[in-house]
Amino acid sequence: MGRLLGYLTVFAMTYAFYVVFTGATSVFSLVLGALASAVVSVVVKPLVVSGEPRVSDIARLAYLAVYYLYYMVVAEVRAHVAIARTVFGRRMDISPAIVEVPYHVKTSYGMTLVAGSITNTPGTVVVQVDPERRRFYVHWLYAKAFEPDRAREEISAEFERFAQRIFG
Amino acid sequence: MRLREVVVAVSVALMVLLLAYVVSAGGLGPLAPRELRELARSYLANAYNPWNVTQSSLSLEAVTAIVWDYRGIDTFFETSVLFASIVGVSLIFRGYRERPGIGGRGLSEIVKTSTRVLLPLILVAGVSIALHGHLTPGGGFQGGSFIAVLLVLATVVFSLDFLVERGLASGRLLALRSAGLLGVLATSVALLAVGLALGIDAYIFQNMVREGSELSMPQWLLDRPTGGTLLFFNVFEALAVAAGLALAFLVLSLREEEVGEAMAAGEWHE
Repeated sequence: MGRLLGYLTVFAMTYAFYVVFTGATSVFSLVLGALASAVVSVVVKPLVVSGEPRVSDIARLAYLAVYYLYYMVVAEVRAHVAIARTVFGRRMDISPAIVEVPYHVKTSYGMTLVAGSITNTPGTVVVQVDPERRRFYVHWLYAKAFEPDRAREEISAEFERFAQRIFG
Repeated sequence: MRLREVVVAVSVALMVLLLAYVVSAGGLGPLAPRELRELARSYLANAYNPWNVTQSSLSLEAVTAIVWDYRGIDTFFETSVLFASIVGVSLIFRGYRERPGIGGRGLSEIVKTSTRVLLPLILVAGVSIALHGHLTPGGGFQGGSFIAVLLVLATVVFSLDFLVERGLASGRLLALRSAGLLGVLATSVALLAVGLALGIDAYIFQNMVREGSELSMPQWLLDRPTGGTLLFFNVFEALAVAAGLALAFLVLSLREEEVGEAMAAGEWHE
């Protein structure tokens, strides 16, 4: 049952993407797409999902939704405003540097979410990851701190708080 | 300094303006005519024409109708040329074989994880482009290229072992490529075979009912036309192109441990 749910999850993601991608409304597209998505999810499932889904995953999904809103509405906008100020302003008040940022999430999905959030926010880019020492190397346009833990506090602590709850 | 920038900007703008004038006056070759030519009009009128099926391929996409029906033999040879070039590539690389377990680092864990999530999406997008070839722009070649990109992406991100461990070594890819081409071939003579079996006249590359032949490929699937042979051509072509392009990329990304022995043998012969 649990394994079937894993397949269904991948199928739902794939089929939802298919419907949006094709803009399908005809029975022809919907039926063939369902068949194609079923085949694709059988082939790809072992790569995408490990472990079995549980009821408590609904809470994680809710966190994901909250995080998405927070990230898009608060974090992104704040960072964009800062960058826009630098681009259009007269003073170049930047201090670019590459800093070490430790991370504590355990799964690769959690780590990817944190790294993606850092990179997608203007002003910070993950340039390297060291999985053994659990550290990102982040290019930071407004480097305010060089000690790893203080840099983490400034850059990714908020992202990681959510990533921990969503992916562990 | 300022003056120089102004001069550069003005001269670039002037060049674009003059070039536009020359092109629109027909200075770089004859302009396309405003009204459709007779040939184009007949294709547009007949690509989807349920009132006169003997002239039509019942495809909503005129380009696919032309490519796989009106000039289907042409396209068949095009596909064969691509196949020949893939055969050429594997001939040059004969004697080299993938060896699983060499291992490769691939890219970082971040890229690997994101790619893992992307894999099913790219795959289903490629399949949908192939399936809708007779309804919207796209088709077998485009869909197949999509899927080949996926395999190339997996090779770069995870290393060659990723494909080899999943049974997509060069031998299997060549077999898939041949299966796709055989599917194209079978589709092109399907109605002819039926005609021979039943003793009815039929043509090669026949799609719908034609003058002198009552046979026809299935015209509708659920609530959309299939374009008869077009749907089958697109699906088989997608398989052939995906396997073929992936094979070409795979042999180019063989690793030193895999080509070493064959290289040494080659040097002996010289």
